[in-house]
Amino acid sequence: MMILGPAHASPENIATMRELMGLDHSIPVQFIHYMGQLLKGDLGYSYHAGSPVSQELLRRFPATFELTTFAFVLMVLCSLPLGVVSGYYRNKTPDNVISVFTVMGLSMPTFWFGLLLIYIFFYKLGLAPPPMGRLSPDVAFPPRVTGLLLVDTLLNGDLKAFLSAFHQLILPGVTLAFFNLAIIVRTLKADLIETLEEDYIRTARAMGIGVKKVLLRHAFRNALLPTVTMIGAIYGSLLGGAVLTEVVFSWPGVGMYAVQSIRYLDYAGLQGFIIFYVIIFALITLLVDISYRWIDPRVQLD
Amino acid sequence: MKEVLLEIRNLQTHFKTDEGEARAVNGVDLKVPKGETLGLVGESGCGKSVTALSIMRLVPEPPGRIIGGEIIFDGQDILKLREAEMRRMRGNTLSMIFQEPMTAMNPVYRIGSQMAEVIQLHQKVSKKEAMDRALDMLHKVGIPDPKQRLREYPHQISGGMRQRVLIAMALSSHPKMVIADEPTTALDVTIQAQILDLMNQLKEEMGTSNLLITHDLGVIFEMAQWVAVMYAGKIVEYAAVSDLFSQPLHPYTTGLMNSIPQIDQPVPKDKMLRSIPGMVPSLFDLLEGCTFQDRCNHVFDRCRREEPGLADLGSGHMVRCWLHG
Ligand SMILES: Nc1ncnc2c1ncn2[C@@H]1O[C@H](COP(=O)(O)OP(=O)(O)OP(=O)(O)O)[C@@H](O)[C@H]1O
Ligand SMILES: [Mg+2]
Repeated sequence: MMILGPAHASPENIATMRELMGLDHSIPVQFIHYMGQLLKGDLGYSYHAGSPVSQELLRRFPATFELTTFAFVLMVLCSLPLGVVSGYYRNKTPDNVISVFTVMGLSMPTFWFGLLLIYIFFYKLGLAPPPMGRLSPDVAFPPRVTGLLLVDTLLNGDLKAFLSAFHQLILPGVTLAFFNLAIIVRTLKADLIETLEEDYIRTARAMGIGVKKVLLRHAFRNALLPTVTMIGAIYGSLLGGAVLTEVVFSWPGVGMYAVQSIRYLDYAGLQGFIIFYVIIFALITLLVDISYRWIDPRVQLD
Repeated sequence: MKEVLLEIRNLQTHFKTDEGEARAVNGVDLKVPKGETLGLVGESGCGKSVTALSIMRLVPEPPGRIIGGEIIFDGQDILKLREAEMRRMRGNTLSMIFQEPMTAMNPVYRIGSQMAEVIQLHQKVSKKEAMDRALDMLHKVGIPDPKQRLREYPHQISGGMRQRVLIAMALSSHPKMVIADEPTTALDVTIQAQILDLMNQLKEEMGTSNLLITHDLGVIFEMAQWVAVMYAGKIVEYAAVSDLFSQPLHPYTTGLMNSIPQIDQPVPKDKMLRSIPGMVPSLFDLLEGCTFQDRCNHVFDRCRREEPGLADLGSGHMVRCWLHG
């Protein structure tokens, strides 16, 4: 009924629709059918979008991937130095300032912070472009190669479009990154402080290595291991956070698709979104495990 | 006595703790002659490691702080140096080896890279030359297949081998003095003997002076020319090894000696402690008079009123006791 609308919801139409969607079969049969199709990579058909779910997810994924990766890079680039500074100046002014700043990010809901940024930087200051998607309306989309606009615009040699795409990314990227900053900074700080107590740090100092070099070369890499686990988990949480951010910034990604699916009671779309995320989470975990090997030679992968 | 390389005068290092100010080192005096080994003995918690860390100026601060005294090393007072000058000295003219070889090396860097880093810190050489020197040093400390070892990570070699690597690292810039804080306590008995032999041999070869911290008078007998007996943050007796063993003067020293069944057998930490009756005095509010009074069999009136000074009885034999003062 929701799909057909009240005007066309005659009993015959509803029956045809039920048959079309497979709803005339019993629930176990429907489930087995769905799982069977799933193994073939078919996530069902999305009625609200009018296209197969998997096709829609793949079409939209680059937008989300570009946003979360941008936010991720931003987050890592900010949090690692902040964490090191916090660990070095533990309980002194720089550490306290960083703590207040990062906890602010943690305590603000993503959508609210996003709206705040839009209000300040777009509405008041006019520094940011309008929060309407991935490219300014007066810029033409490049031909799709990877689906990542930062890459495709460059491949197309269109610098203006590249800059536009970059500008559009900044506010949603900052919104997403800021929320997770506190967690990484704190983990890294705690791990650094713990690592600085280790015997090999004392050895390094006794061999004449200076405090800063000990911190950056000897403690940092050892403290990184727990932090990387954290960072991996956080990439997942970025994908989750992207749902609201995409709505606030009209970002045409998978998160927006999920929200629309909910709005239209489009189960296939929502289910597809969840399965898609689970797969991505698994891939991230794998990447984290592989990066251990690179950071810590004692970790053996077999 | 030969020329003195290191002389400590009235060193005081305190720690701020929840219970108050712990006087871990409470007026230490000692001398290490050039080219010789001074053994520093005493029971657990008497302040041996803190003394060593004070010489390196690596006392964790806070909670620790060097309150006063002088540490004259090679003619200058270390405590007056700026941190940058001190840093150039560490691992260069003044080196230290620690107790725990298993955890004393950074697990994420290759042995060669860690050694080369230290060598390049103190010697103006290229990475390649630094590696060559590291190789020489590994060879010198008797590590088999040193070329291969350079490429390995610390967890790939045994504790004894790791201690050899650390010795190689500590000696790589030909220091004038090496402080070794219980370098063999964490190792098997047979390995212990090998490491001690190696240290002695390198000391002879390179002409370094050693400060050897140990629980074990047997080790002192084999390794050292001089010995300082430490009790509750102070040196209570200082003598040439032969003098101390033939004629121990302080009642605490006598107690330590009697607690050793055979001079050449290593003694476990706890056994040595139990054999002298009584408890170590609190480091927080030290009582009036001699610190050893409550455990001493010869205690008399004066010991409870006044603290004895470190009296020189000739030929460098010094003792902090009213029986000899
Ligand atoms: N980091 C610290 N914080 C607080 N107090 C400390 C610290 N390090 C040492 N101390 C105090 O200094 C005292 C002497 O410690 P130290 O490590 O020098 O003993 P030690 O003679 O080396 O004993 P051991 O034979 O067990 O190594 C301890 O009893 C402790 O109270
Ligand atoms: Mg100690």
